[in-house]
Amino acid sequence: MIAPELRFVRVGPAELSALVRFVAQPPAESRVGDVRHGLVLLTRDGRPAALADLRRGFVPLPAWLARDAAVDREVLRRLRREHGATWAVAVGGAALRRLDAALSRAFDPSGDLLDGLLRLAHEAREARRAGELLFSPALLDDVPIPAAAQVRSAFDLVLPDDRTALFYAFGPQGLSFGLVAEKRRGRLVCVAGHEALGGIAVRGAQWRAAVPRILRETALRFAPPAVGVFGDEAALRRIVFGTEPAALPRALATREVILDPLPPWLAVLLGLDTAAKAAGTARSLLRRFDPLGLAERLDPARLARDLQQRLGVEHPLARALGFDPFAVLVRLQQWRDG
Amino acid sequence: MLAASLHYFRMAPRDLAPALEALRRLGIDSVEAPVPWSGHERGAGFVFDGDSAPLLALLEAAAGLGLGVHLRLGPIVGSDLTGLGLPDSVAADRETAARHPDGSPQVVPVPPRWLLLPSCASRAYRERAGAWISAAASAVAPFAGPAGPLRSLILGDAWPFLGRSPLAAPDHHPDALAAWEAFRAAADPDVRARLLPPAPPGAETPAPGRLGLARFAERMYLELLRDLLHVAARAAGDRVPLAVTAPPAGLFQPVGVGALAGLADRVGLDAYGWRERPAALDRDARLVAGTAREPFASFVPVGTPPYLPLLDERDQLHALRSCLAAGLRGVVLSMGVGRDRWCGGLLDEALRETEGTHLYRRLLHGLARSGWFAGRRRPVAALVVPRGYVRGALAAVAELAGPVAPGLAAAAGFDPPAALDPADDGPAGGAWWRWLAGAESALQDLGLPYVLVDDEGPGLPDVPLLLAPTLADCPASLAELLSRRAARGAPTLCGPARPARDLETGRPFAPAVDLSVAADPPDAVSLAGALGMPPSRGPHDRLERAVFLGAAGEPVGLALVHRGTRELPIGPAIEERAAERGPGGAGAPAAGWRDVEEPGLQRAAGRLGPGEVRLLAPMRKETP
Repeated sequence: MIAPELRFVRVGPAELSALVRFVAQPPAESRVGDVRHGLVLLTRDGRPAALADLRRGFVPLPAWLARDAAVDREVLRRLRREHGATWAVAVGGAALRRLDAALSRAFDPSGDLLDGLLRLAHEAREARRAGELLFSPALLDDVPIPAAAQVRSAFDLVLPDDRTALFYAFGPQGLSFGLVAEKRRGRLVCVAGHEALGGIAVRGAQWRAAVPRILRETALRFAPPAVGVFGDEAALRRIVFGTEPAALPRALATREVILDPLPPWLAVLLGLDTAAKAAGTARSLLRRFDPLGLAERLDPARLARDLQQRLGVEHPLARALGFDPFAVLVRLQQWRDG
Repeated sequence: MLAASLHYFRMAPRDLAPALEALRRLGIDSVEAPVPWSGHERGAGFVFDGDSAPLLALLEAAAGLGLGVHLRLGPIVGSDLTGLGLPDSVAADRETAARHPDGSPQVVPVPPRWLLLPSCASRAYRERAGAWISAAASAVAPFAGPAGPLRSLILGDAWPFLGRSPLAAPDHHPDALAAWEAFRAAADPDVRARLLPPAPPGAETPAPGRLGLARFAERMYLELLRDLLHVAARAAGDRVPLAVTAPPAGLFQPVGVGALAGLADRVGLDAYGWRERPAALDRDARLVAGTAREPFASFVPVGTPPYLPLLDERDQLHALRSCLAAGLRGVVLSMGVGRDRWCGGLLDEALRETEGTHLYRRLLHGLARSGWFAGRRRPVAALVVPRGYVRGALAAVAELAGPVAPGLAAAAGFDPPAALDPADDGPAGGAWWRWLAGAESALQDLGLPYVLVDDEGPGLPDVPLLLAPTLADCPASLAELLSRRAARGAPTLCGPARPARDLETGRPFAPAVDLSVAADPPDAVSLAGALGMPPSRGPHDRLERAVFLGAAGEPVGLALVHRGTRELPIGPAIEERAAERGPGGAGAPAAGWRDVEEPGLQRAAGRLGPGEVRLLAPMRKETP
């Protein structure tokens, strides 16, 4: 999926920093914490040996954790709480060697980084089942891991060949980051920053005015866009990190987020097709009898998905992946143990 | 050496001269360019000119502009290339790859793919790498000499070493196994019995059993590098200085800086550091500065790779100033010109200055104007980093963390021995580290300029005070050196235990009666006493003031490194201590000090923030 000659074109350091912030630092009201703040408890024969806090380096084991104590999920949970960490993992040298050996055995010179990472993820799951790896929060245990072929199918669906995908976030000062991904012959061949489009000016809150030109320049300089997500950074963060139940429809309605072009698979995924219309109608009807405004808290996308499921209609991305990516996202947004 | 990186193989030949000219205007005197094996191999031969590989065009353009060129020949140049610059025929060749016991190849993640880790012991790999270095060095040899632009050839790249720990997953390539046999056979019988089992240690071998493997793994890399240096010297007619590089792994380099310094006078540090964890880069720089004869920073980031976006502009300038303050005598700013797979640079691809370029321009011009590199840093103390104990820590962590690269972890601030039991006084324990870290903290409390020294390097600097962590099991050469120094009355402190027997053979030493041994790490008071300094009044400001002296002993620079927690006014910070003639120090210039980065002639002023590094130059009447 990733071309060996993959190019990164004019991705500015400020854009990259903004992207890292976006991905790693959820808004304060999110259940998910800073994903860069993790704990790694190194174990020897299932007993604690050393503790690494990704923010502070190796730190002493707490007094309550004896070196001969068995490490279980409760230990991890307590460590995570005491360090204010977003996640924690307990792992021993044996498990790491097992992952390494599996990766070596499966090495394919034509494979890309993602192939290897998927292989690693499957092995990590096996190691977890064997009790050699523990995660906290426990919900990481059940995140579905698709096969490489499934990811490839989903990728082909999301981004057809000779097309581009755009992801833009804007802040009060204008552009936070803008990325253009280009796909050729089944592979991602280029990731470009906004500068690669020739320096289109974006003025603060007026960013919507720049979208048509961004799309035009992308088509001229790279390939016609297949999907574009443009949005206010704060709204996008609320959507991704799940701080509001109806963040997405609200953002679409207020044009804090613009989907342009909107491919059919995304329309279906987001419930913006007929099912969504049905859901919207339901909400309109509800509103008439809803003096407390409860309808505003209903998520039409969710309603639409429920409707689709009841009608037996599966959205195409879920069919390609073998699971519903939205359901996984919603679950991750809960970020809780147990 | 004020160099900037330029990837000629990612540029059209016609763009080279304008790029060089633009860089020269910024104040650089030379460019550094990786020369990727993959970019020049064509079938069975190599090509060094033409549109896709315009190396000779680069040299010609640089010569025309009076700029120098430093070429990084690899064989693994990195440079965010697929396969790190190895041709596909090597990067995917199972025959030359390091192997697991079951014969499967060892792989490392190198976005966007996985790379087969070449076996340093593989004869086929050595031959192919030698052929590459020979061809490249021969091609550029005509540009060497006093009138030519070629300033140095830089060899080696330990990134693959960083990618995984050879102590957790030893190489089972047939040539590596044969080399292990030969290594055992040539070893001292006691070493063989203690540290070198018939087969390379396996996954279950405890840490002490891996010390021999650590030495062996380093030997394999060093042999490869030594052979390649010989090849390069022969091909270039011995007319080009050769350099090697050390990765950014703090004190926990996969190959000792001392051993690298034994191969080449010039040792470059690839200085990739994090401002939030300044200790790792600071130690890196001090170790290279204290160990190599001609230390320099072979990579100081300007920008960031898209795969590791952790440095911001402040980090980068801080890394650069830290390298200069530690005494590295030359820098390569990477990148000079923006490129594929890199975010940032002094100039973008269109040769326009980027947002922070003016800060670099001021510093570069200031360094050139002040003659900063004409000075040598004069440390008052040296803190020895016994390589034998570093190996012990790497071995212990390999047991805990498997093949995860300890060097990468150390670069990010995870010092391997910090994971070990500080009460364990064995070579694979944490007691020596507790002593070293404590002694270093005391030096920092006093604000004494100090260096770190790898005991397996070409020699120890002549400093007023030498500190060394020692255990009962101690490297023989270090124990002897400490005894000699103590016998002649030079202030020398060691601990937590008196050296009693050779770390490798186990043979007992004659007791060194004059040696001062402290079970606990020395504090600031004891260090001041050892140096005959007056006891300090009040809390320590933790401000290091390192004077740089020219050939005639005149001050040419002053580096201030502030490790305290409160802001300090810069005037008193300079006057209080720099004017003193302390041990190893020098007097202040009569006219005072100015900021290297300030174009005017004002005295340095303002305040020093916690963590800040400031470079000052003497004010002279003749300064333009």
